[in-house]
Amino acid sequence: MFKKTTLFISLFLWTAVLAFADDITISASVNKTSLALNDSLIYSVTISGKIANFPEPQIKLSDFNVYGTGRSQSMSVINGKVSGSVVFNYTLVPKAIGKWTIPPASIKQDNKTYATEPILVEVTAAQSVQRQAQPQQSQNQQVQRAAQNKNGGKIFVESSINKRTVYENEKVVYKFTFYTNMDLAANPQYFAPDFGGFWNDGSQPKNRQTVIDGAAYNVSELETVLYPISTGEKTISPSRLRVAVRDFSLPDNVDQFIAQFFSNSGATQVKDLETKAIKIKVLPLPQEGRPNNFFGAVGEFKINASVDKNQVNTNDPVTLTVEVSGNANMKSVVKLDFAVESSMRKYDTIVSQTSSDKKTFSTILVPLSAGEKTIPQIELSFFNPKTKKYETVRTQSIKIIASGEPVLDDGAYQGSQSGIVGKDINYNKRITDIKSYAGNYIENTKFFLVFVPFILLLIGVFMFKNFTKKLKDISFKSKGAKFNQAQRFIERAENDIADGNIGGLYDLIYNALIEAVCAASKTKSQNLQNSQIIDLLNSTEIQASTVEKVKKILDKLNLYKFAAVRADESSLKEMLKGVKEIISELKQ
Amino acid sequence: MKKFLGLCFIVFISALLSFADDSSVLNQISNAETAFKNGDYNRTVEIYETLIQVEKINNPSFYYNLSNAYYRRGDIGRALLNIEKAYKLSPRDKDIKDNMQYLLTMTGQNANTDLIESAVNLFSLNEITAAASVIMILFLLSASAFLFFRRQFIKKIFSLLLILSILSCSLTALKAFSALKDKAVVLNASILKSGPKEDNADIFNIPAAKIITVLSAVDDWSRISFKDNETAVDGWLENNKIGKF
Repeated sequence: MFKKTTLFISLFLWTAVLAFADDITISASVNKTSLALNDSLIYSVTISGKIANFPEPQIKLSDFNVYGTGRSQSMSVINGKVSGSVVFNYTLVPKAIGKWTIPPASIKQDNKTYATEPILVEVTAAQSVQRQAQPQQSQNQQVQRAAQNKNGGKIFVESSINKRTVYENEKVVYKFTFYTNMDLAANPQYFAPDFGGFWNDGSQPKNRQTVIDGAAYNVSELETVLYPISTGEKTISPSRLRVAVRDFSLPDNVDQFIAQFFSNSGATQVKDLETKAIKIKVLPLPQEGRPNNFFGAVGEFKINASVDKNQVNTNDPVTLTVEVSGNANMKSVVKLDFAVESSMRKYDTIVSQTSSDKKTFSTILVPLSAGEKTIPQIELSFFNPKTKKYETVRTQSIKIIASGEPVLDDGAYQGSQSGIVGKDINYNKRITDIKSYAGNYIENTKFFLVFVPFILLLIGVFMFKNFTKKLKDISFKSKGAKFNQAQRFIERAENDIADGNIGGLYDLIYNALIEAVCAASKTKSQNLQNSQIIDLLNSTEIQASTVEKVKKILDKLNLYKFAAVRADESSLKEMLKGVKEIISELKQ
Repeated sequence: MKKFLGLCFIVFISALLSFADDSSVLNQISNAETAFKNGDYNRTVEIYETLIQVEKINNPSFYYNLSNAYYRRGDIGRALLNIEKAYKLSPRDKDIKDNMQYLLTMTGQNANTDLIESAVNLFSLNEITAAASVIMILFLLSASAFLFFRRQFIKKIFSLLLILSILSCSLTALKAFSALKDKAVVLNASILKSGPKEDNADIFNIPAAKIITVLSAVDDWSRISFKDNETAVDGWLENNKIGKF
């Protein structure tokens, strides 16, 4: 039994713990478990649960370089519970060949630590990596870079890259171009190459027309911006395009002619076109001359700062906007150092990327005192691949003229003026106590149950007192109680005789007799004369001899009570004995 | 022993579940505070309304913060409704009193200045009910003791508690009458109708955040009354246009 109970408790406890643990789950995955040394993989950590602020997982990666992180989040409120999930994506590049373990990623939430399982990854030499995600070629389809139908129409593809030797994190543009002057039966299907080892910043399509060798072509271009994330020799695999074209050339036989005639279209041919693979050499950034405020920006940058107004009153906001632009990786520009003098209050900086080659940093400055304020130069250090040197660009310093009363940093006016300048509702409370208040007690009928024990106590006491009062009143005694009382009188009389105390014996014997008579005759009143007692007994079914005995005892008691004669001990014992006999007879 | 272990287990599980719930609620409050700081008042309202309506948390601070969010969102009717709810639960909280005063002044309504009602309003209905209940219990105990022991000094205590019981019960009744009467606030500016139907005549333009008394209800309509410049007005409004305290 005990074992069953223990098992049940254990199961219940485990279920409860699991239910509680389900609040947060964390898992990790990779997009491939085998990769080449110069390749990269995407390591994804997914956190889900009923929490609103997902912390970033802690990962200690000693065998991989981490390039770029991404985060996608979804939130929902169901039945008042905030729940959601967030996926943190990391691009990992291995440092050496071998089998490596990506250690568990962990987060801490409410003093508890949640961790993922470790993941084993095999890193091979560059040649052993197989290209993935390319279309399967059917045996009857021939991969080609160009195709020509029988009436002279032509389609072909080519790929190019703007630089063959680049620095790490330098912008590279991969261009895929599709030329056609044939009638297409369907939209072409593009299979992008494997950009392993590059950070893919997205593609932009373009369309134009051109003339090649006297023939007009429709040209579709797809430019993909790439940033190399590791150094060494890289290969961008061929791009592939699957097209379906109509062939209006003369049919080989009559049947084909009839089918073509009635379908009002040419025969459809599916062709797979493929570009050449492209090799790129990625150079490491030089260590020499690297500025302290270099945070990885590579390219050519320009920086410009402006304010929305140069003359303001104290405590009025001024918006400072710093625009960074250039032919470079804007994602690598993560922050700028905004240092302002202490007489200006600075708010948080808002970063926004307006386009692929422009990024703005905005902040609000509030002059706290009157006078000329200077916003110092803002610097951006970067590596310029053209000059192959680290460079620094700076904004111009900006002057602002502030006028008016000085302002304390908490926003209150300082100076001779005092008084209310405005009124607003009090700010939100910081909630630490989340106890739920009860509804109105008075509306809850159960609340009144609290009085019940006390009312019952009062009623109980009242009844008890009433009962004890009745008990004291002999007239309410039962027949048995009266005989018992008579018996107690007899016992007390016997004790008094034994003690030699015979002073009160008359009363005891008399009371014993009266109790017994009242019990036998069912009489309530005890204030009866002797004659009334005898009459009462005669009116009942009590034997005459017993009544006679009662009469004799009563007479003797009268004699000894009111006469000068004192009864001796033997007489008293005899009377007592007689009363006992009477009680015994009356009981029967 | 097994019973004791079973009891310990139930207490442990309850504590565990309670802790989990508290953690979730605190997270949501943190989200609401962040949203409020960022000026996302709709999100703040959504979170607090969920905590109050779904989680059934009846806490004056929740109503207070919800009122603030509604106020910032420009929804004065709901701001007043929620600050009134906060005030009912915690009538001596200075912030709540200040904000309620501010909203009432803003909407051109005077806070109560009646001395007795002001004194009664120092305490919540539950506080007064609890105090009256304790006095009543002491009175019942003293009555029992007096019946049992019949002592003179108990009789004096009993008499004193009898007087206190009568006073406290009267106070409770007064407070209950004040608190439980069907007060409500008009959530948005509306038109009062002469009857509980849309095609009944329009009789009064009632502004948002006007405090009214609900007299009766028919289907989705409530008959309400209020004073406008010392003139008593009554008419009908749809239930979804008012918020009951």
